[in-house]
Amino acid sequence: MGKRTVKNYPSPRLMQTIGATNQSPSEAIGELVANCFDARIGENKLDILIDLCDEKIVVSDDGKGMTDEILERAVCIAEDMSQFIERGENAKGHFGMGFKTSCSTLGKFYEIFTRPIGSDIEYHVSFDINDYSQRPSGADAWDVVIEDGPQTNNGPLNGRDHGTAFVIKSLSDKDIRASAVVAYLGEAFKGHIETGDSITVANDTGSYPAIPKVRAFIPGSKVPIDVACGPDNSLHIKGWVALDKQTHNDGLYGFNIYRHGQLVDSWNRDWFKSHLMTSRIFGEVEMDFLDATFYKQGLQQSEYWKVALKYMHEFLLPIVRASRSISRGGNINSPVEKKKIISALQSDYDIADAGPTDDNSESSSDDREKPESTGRSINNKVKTLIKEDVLILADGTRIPITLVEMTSNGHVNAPFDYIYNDAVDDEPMLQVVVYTDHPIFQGKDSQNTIRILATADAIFRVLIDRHGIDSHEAFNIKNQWILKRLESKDVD
Amino acid sequence: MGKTESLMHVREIWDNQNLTVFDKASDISAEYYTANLELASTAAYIGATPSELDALLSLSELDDDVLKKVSESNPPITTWMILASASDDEILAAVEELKDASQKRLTDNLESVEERLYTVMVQVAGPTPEQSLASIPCDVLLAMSKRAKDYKALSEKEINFLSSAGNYRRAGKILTNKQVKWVKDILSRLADAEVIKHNGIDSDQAMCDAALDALGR
Repeated sequence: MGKRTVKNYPSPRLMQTIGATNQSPSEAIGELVANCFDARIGENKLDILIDLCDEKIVVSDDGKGMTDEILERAVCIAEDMSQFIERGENAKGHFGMGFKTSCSTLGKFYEIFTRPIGSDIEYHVSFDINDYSQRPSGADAWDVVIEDGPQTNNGPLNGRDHGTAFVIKSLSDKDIRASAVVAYLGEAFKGHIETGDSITVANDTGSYPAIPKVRAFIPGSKVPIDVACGPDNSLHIKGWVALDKQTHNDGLYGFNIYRHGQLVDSWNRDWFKSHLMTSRIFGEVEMDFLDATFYKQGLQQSEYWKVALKYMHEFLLPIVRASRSISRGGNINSPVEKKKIISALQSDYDIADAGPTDDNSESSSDDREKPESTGRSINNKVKTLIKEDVLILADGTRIPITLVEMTSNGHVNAPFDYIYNDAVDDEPMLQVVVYTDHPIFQGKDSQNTIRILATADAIFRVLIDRHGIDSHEAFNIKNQWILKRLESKDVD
Repeated sequence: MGKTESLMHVREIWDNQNLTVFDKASDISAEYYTANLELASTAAYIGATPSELDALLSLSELDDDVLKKVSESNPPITTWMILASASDDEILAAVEELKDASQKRLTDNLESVEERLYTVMVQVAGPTPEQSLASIPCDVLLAMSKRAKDYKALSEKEINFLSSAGNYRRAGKILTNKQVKWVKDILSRLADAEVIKHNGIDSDQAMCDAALDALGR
């Protein structure tokens, strides 16, 4: 029996494996942007630039930069930076993994350039993931070299007296969509942008500010949230919830949850039952008391979260009920029913009627779907025109048939009809007209069957109306034609 | 004039074989709308189907000079509805086609005049969204899959579907009706959410434009 102590040095390969996250490029860049906010100088507004040009990513800010001592901590794995920076517990960075994880997700080589405020020195650190992968384990395997020198005019911080820049090269995704980054950052840092901070994304085509998205809600459905729960009402939840004008089968509904102004969870639906009928519910809440995982994707299931979950489930019951009611049986298109539902909602939450045009919610005044096109064109009304099997009567009369599928726009109150050319000078011609906007076709997918039935119906009627054939004989002819038609072409 | 008199007048015009399409359309629509007649009952009274009468009334909505040109080509009744649905340019192309149509009437194997007119008009109008989407380039579908992934705008199943549809097209196959329907739904939602838009800022703008063009947006 004996015992011994083994030196337990994590393998430097960890630098590579921490980059194997499911973060999208936008989310990884968002993590670097979050670090910028921790470097805010007092209450100064920040100017953050994300440059995607030249096959590299540069995220730079005009914050206070990092001193030599702070930088030493920042480059260490899993160092809790909130212990060392001014913002303390309000800092977004807590786990000391954010920028390493995100940079490793984005590329194989990254650098930090930082100019501390009040100093004329610029510090520089670089990380080569391939180099780390090849290092043997050991006490010095994690060594980081910090260079310092005078500020230069040709680096990523050019033009900034102080601040920090992350530069990522050897990118994993060499074709990052700048628009996706702009859209994500606009949502993720909505609170910061709305209070004056600036986030700009540049690519080869220009520079674009991140702007929060404006959504269209049902007027009067926006409910403010300003509640407290938990021990001594210490858990403060602030924000709003509203009903979208449309249901979502794309999963893009629920709550965006922010912590200290940063999006930590998108489309969270833990507080109500996820269903198409509840898919109008959209809201935003600030929950600063939450912990966040080091990559800030998904909430930790803390006791505080469980308390909030129970509270918000109860709080949202009226709007869940309203979402179900308004999505049921065409109520969304009934102004009377909609008004009743919204009035009940406002009564439940004891809020005043916001009026017909809710704040930032209206892009148009009605709920009707946009018309496909206002111009007249064959493609807007006629879906297709095809030749059907010719009809040959017992006396040898040939009746060629075409079938046209088109919209009636309510003019003809029938699913199908016919047009018959019996002009003396012309060969007879039967045209079957299928009105695809008739309710009978909504949700159906057996186009071929519908064509056959419509043609059969037209044959039946034209034989009686125009050829004076007895209805029983016409019925038999029609059915024989259907059988022949079924033999000649497959039905869906 | 009462409704009964109006109906009789409409039937008289409808049955008159010597009137041009222009005269029929103008006179019947004037009577129909002045007397506030109803389509189904009027059609039954004059011995026409609702669609036949609706086709003539729709023709009357064309500008007079366009309707005159249509009328001069003496189009068969089975072309009225599609002509009335078309733009002026599409109609003028159809009228040209009608000029020699009398020699090419339908047989079992030849195109009917209705088919030929429709083909000519679609050529002028450009293909329908469904037709465009059925043959949408594979690169466009793959680029849209990448965008949806970057934006996290679709479910994983839908993103994978766009990729597989792209590979299907890469093999030179035309998308099936079901695939087209799904592609149309997905791309429409991406367009509604402004994940794809004209005048964007990304390197795949040409692909976005192609997707929007296929949707007819």
